[in-house]
Amino acid sequence: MEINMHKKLLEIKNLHVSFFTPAGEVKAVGGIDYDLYSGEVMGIVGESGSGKSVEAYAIMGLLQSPGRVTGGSIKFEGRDVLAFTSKEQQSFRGNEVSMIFQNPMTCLNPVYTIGNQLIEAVCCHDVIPKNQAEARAIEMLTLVGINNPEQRMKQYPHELSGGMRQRVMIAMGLVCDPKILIADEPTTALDVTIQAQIIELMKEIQKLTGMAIIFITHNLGVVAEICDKVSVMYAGKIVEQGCVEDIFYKPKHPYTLGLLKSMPRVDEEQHERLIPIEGTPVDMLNPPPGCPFGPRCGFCMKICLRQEPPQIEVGDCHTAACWLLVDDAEKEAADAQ
Amino acid sequence: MPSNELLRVEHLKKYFPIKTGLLKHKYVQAVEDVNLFINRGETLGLVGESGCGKTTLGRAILRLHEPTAGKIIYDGVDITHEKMLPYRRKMQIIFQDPSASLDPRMTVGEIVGEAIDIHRLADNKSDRTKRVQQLLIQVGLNSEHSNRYPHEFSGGQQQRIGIARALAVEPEFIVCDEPVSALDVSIQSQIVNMLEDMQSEMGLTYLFIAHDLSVVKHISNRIGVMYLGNMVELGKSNEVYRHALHPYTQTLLSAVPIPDPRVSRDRKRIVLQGDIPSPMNPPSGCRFHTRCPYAIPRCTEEVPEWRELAPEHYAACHIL
Repeated sequence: MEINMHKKLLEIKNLHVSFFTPAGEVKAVGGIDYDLYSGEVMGIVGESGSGKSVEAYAIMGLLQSPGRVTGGSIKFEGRDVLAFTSKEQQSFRGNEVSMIFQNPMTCLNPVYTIGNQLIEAVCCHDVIPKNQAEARAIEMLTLVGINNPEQRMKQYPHELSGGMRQRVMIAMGLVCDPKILIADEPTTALDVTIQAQIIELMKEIQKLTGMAIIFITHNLGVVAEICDKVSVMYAGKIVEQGCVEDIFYKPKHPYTLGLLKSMPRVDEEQHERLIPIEGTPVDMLNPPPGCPFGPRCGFCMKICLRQEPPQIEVGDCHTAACWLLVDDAEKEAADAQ
Repeated sequence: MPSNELLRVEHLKKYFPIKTGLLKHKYVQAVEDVNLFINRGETLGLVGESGCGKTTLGRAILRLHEPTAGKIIYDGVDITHEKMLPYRRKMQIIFQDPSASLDPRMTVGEIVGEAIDIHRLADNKSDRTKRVQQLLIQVGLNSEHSNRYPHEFSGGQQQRIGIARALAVEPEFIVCDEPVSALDVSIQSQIVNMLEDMQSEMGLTYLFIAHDLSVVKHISNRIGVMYLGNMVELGKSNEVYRHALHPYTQTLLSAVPIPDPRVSRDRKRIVLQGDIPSPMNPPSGCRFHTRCPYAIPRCTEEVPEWRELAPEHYAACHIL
């Protein structure tokens, strides 16, 4: 499948998001770029605090004070998302892009039935009679593999199990037939067997509808299973980006390599000692100068602690931001200055 | 080898009562008839999904929950009804959520030193300070950290404090209750390696509880798999992985994501239907029969027996 044949849906350029806290400015997202094409599943991997969710919230226009987009652009099919009026944004959310969240219990309203909430989502975006909205809701519940959808429509969120609730969330996300689904750690709160069910379901739905998915997770195993392209984030920056095979078999950034080496694998033949990434995550209030990963990196050079590395193209749609990939790092840095 | 055995659990049960009406009592059967033993210096891993009773079992072994029935034999002594204080020096626990299990109002020095005071392990004040500092260094923290409060540390460091606290009494046996689940991937491996180093240096014995099969398989010599309060399979970790006997173990293994796109996309996955039944009224017979792809009529009627099906490889299933 040649990705260039698909339509470019989302174009993010040099996006900056900051939180202005009493303790100072936290640059949660510090200049990220990526494109999303239709029918693509893009994984965004990173540890807690790497800015992977914040970036998704920025796309959806869900950033809350004190968070603010401080620079860059987000374009959806050529239209500037950041310049949307609140009305445009409302129709953009749901119709074009929808989002499902990590914890399905906190995202569903406990005092309304599942049916009520699904119908509300339909009616918000389409002016259609209620019985049609209901039919649409039932159709969606069937699509996400819920038995007796008519019955379930009358139930409240607490009557469903965690896996069921996540299915309902997915149904709600799909109800207006969006072009992009942003899934923010959709399986993290679930057990492995349920996680497997949800991943299978998302794969099926993706094939069926052809929509693009941005899959945010910290679990590289899940990424290996579902994603076509992967962006690895660290301290608000994309440190490496490429297709799934490149990231797993030809990682270029020491952080990606470190993540892959530090994970125990269930299929390891013999007990091998894990190779951890030393040190602690970055303090986002006082990030180190230069490469954010520098202080923890085993290959750290002098320049890494002084100046931020550029994005280097290392293959077809494969980029990494690391000074190691620059032949003459000192010269490059001097030129950049 | 009875001399090698540190802990034995026989027919352990733990029910939690819940009131449903004025006089009606119902029970959550959190742990139902579990048998296991742990040898000195080994790590027994316990896996299962949430609500399968693995944490309850771990706590019942330490008698943080009083067992409803059954026996706990530690080092040849039946401790099911003993006074626990002397045994607390030998048996310790590391909790899942490091921020919730450390008192926010106590300094790190107080947290780690509390057990030293209770068991009167220090001769005088300076000895106590020295011990605390040594423990902090041992878990990769700084000795100056003893005057700080838990919130000043990151999640990984907090977990190190929790481990230092468990080590303070120089225990033989530690229940590690999901010690790395709340941590980021890059920090997880640091803690896992540290636990392994401590074991080889001090000859510790672990009961390692986690829902992440990859971590459990990595650290454990033997693995026990639990489902809805029952132990369904127990064996050497490689045996359990390569020749999983119980259908539940097989599905669990096939559901674990492998960080390798070629492997994970090629393998056949058994996707279970449905959800875990409520432990308040578990299914009759084999508790797994409602979701088991191989269930036969006998499974609904008869509780399968816990049998040794291969050397040191136990399972409870009718079809085996």
